[in-house]
Amino acid sequence: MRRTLLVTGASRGLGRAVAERAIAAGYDVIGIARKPAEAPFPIHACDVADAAAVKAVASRLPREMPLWGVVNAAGVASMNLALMTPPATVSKVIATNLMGAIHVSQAFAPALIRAKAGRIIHFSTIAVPLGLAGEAVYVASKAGVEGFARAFAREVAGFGVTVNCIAPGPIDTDLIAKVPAEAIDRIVRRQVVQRKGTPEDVWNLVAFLLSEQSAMISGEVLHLGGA
Amino acid sequence: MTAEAAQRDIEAKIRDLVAFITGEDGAGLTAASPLVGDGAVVDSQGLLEIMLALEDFAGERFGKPFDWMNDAAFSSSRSPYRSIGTLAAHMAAQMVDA
Repeated sequence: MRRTLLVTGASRGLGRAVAERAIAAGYDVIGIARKPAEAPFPIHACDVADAAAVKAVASRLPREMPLWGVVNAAGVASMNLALMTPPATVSKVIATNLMGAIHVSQAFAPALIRAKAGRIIHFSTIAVPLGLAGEAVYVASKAGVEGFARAFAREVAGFGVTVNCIAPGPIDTDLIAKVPAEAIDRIVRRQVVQRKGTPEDVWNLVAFLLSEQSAMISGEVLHLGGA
Repeated sequence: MTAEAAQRDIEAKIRDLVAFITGEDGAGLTAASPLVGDGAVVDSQGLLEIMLALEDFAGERFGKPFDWMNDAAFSSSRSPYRSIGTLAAHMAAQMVDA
């Protein structure tokens, strides 16, 4: 039976890259994005910061749909000093990255619990363990995601559902398009593997975490590039 | 359907669910059997299973959604889920009044 993945942030960036590779690997993909784009899979218009909207998408999915995994790639970045970040931006970053991860988990985990199996993958960032200056608000939001994922993993472990975070270093996506190359290089030099990651690197880890072989891995944060 | 009748149906459903989850016959279960806190007849995982099953039951039996998010869920004194009876009453109120 083909397995279905729910991918957030699916219209561009890492979410889009993961969704396309998942289709090539044989998954059915349903996307969520604030601004749906042309894609070889259905994308629901939905802001993950809006709990009711996320729940509405979940309620429209057929109960018999064999949802196997959720890849929560929706996210916004804020490369700024904390003292220079306006409150509205702080709220937006926390609402999308942290509250979005919670909303998506609340909305879609019940389907996995009912199926007594499934995978939830959130995205964090290598900036959390590196404590990168200039990303304090973003780091705070993603550190929250990691904490949520570790605790939520325990809440659903008995149902055969795993919850993990992938924390990549810089990957060539829209998220870092406006970050100066020198700043990216400084981050890469602090990684164990000193190169920028690729969407393929990300997919390789996503594919493993989605596999049956990853059943014993839950509540973990996997740093792509090494922190 | 009256709230009392709905509550009876729901309470019977909860007793069945607890019996299924615990693997026991459920003969000793009453409205006062605790679901949360000291002496709870199910753990938190079991409570989650009950809520998801009641969500399905609400749609099938009453044609209504059951909203089981609640800030006091694990308060042994204030939780609407503190016993089989309080959960049944809480859900019945939603099914009849919603």
